Amino acid sequence: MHLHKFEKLWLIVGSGALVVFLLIIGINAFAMGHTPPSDNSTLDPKQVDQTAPFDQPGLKKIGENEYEAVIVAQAFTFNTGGDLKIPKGAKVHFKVTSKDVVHGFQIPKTNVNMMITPGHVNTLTHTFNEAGNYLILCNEYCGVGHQAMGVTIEVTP
Amino acid sequence: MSVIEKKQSANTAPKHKVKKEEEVKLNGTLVSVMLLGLFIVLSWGGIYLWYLSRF
Amino acid sequence: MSKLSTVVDRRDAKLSMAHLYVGYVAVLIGAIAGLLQTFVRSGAITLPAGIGYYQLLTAHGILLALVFTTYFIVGFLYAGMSRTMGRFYDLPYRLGWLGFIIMTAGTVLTTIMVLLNEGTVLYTFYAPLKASPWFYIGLTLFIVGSWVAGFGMFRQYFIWRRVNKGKLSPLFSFMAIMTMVLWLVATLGVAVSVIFQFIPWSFGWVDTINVLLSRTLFWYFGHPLVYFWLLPAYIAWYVVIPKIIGGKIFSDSLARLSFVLFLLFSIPVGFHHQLLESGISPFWKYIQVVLTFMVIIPSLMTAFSLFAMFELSGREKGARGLFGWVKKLPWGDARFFAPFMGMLIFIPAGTGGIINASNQLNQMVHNTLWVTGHFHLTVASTVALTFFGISYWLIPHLTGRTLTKRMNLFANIQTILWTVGMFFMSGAMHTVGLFGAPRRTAYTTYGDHPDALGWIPYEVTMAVGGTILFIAVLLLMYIVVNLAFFAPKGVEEFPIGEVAEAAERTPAVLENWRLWIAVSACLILLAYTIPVIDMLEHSPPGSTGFKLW
Repeated sequence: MHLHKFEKLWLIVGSGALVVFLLIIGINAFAMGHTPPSDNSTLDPKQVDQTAPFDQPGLKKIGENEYEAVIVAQAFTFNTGGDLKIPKGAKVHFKVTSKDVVHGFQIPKTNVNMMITPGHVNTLTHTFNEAGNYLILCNEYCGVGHQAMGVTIEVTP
Repeated sequence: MSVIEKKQSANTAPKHKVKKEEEVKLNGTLVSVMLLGLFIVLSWGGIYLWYLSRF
Repeated sequence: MSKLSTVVDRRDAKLSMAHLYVGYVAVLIGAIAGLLQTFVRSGAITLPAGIGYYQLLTAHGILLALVFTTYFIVGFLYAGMSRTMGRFYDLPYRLGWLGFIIMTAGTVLTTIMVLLNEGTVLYTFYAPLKASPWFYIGLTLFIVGSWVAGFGMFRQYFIWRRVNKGKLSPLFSFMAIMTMVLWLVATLGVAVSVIFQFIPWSFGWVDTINVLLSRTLFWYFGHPLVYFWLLPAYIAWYVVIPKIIGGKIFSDSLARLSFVLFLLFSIPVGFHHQLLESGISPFWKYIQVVLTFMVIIPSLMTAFSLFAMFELSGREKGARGLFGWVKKLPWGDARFFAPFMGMLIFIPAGTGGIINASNQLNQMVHNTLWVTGHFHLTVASTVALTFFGISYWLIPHLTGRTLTKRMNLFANIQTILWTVGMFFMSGAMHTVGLFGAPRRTAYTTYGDHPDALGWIPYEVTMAVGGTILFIAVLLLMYIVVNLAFFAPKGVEEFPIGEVAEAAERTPAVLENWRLWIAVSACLILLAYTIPVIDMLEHSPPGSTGFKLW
């Protein structure tokens, strides 16, 4: 099949750009540890309240300014086991599951964004370098009260 | 095989000006697609940098 | 074969028009739902009479993204095959009507369930939200009806090939068959999920459903679905537009090659809609991201072909300089102008798509209003404007009327209104999505959280854009009704572009269906076998159903 020389040039440049994009995200994902949230652990969605660590949701300090936040998503709230309050610079590992339908877990102005499917656990880590009141919201339609499903996390200076 | 080798007048009888493929003038097309490519690269790059800034 | 008429056979025209009528009724109802949604979301109104925001959203998605598109596509492809291959033979013709009846039964059933608030699960119906079984049965009938319509086209094509042994099939028909093959392969996924998972579960025959598997089967279908919308628009761009602008098809074989690539690479890519979920390994997500990027290449080819078509035809008309050909395009002709704006909008639309599919970059945009903005540029502008542009000649062609100067003017105004409305609506959606505003969410401030309060001006802009779009829909309805029932009698051309007569033969391999379907199947198996086995082996206990609306 014959291609005009300009078309060849365009396809080389265009495909080249795509390869560069793929390399950048590939390196960022696999070499720098920013693969999209893909936790592989599972649990019985009907037994969430009896399954550790989700039987005790809440914020746990696990290191020097490092926390684990265990959260249960359910229509139409996030059970965080109390107020989420952390100092600036804290690194937080979010560990979330759902008791009912599919929910979303998103913190605007950060890269925290993941799907919470029942029966599965999903995890993401974020370091809060700026103080402020952050919103955690559900971004997957989960029923009539979906728009109310949000909590906040306080990052103190 | 391509059509490019033939340029035909738009609607009337074919006044075949048989030209070599290399002579078909597609300079405007090349510039257009390159601008399109530039738009894609800049948009993608902008979002990628924004993504990095959110860590 | 007898000499081919340039006018679609009257009998086939009726079949095609039946599809267009249903499609445009769906546009009107879907647009009313869309307008109301923008008002609710910006806090301007609350809905009366117990109508739910999410009920409207479900109706909007089903009526516009599924019903309008599918009916229009089937109607357009039937008409185009009749035009390029000749009157439909009896069996394919009857299959066309049978498909129409089954599809319509399904559409009516699903619509009733949505109206009864028994199916407020949005058009993606993610488990374990559980609708009435009749909602899923309606969807099944809809899909099966579209298959029957596709079988009609396959049969027609098969007979044509037998009668015209050794001849290259008309480009339009080749592309139509490719579109329907893509649809058939893609819908197998959702059909398996609905028939074997959703229907038994919603009837209560089984207690639980495998959520991740159902989502994977849905998105196996969900991405080629968008190519099913796009390919008929590409048919118009490749085959119809050259004739309208007085040019020639740039290259028959490159056009066919791009459609082959769409079949191969638009299916094994569904994980790029599931990038942020558990239970799928990052490796397999990335593999499908790479395959997704492959499907960008035929669109890059298409961009070149279209610019080249414009430039060559402009130069034939005496255009000079780098961009002189731009002035030679028939800007006043709505049959060109509407699809052209669609092409132009595909530039930001496609770019947004590349960003969405870029693995972890998806965390910036997933389930935010950015995504809503994105597909309002792709399907609701690029595809919709092209379909409107097709309607401006197809409807009068099929009803034996003509597109008058007056209607042409209205059609151009419609295109401008649509573009402006979408600029505001989609622009605001993209922007506020990057700030984190979620999609598919009713009016909310999350307890007056400052972030959410900051989104409201953008949501108001969305409502302004939505209002302009609604006015454009009303104008569109006026044009469509006029062209179908009131425009002066006459013959409106069905434009089919020609390839240069002395052009080299298109390689026969491009029409080797066994080969391409086999390669497509291999790619699907490559992309899905291991992760799906993994999913089944590590699946948690299933989910019972929830009706949370």
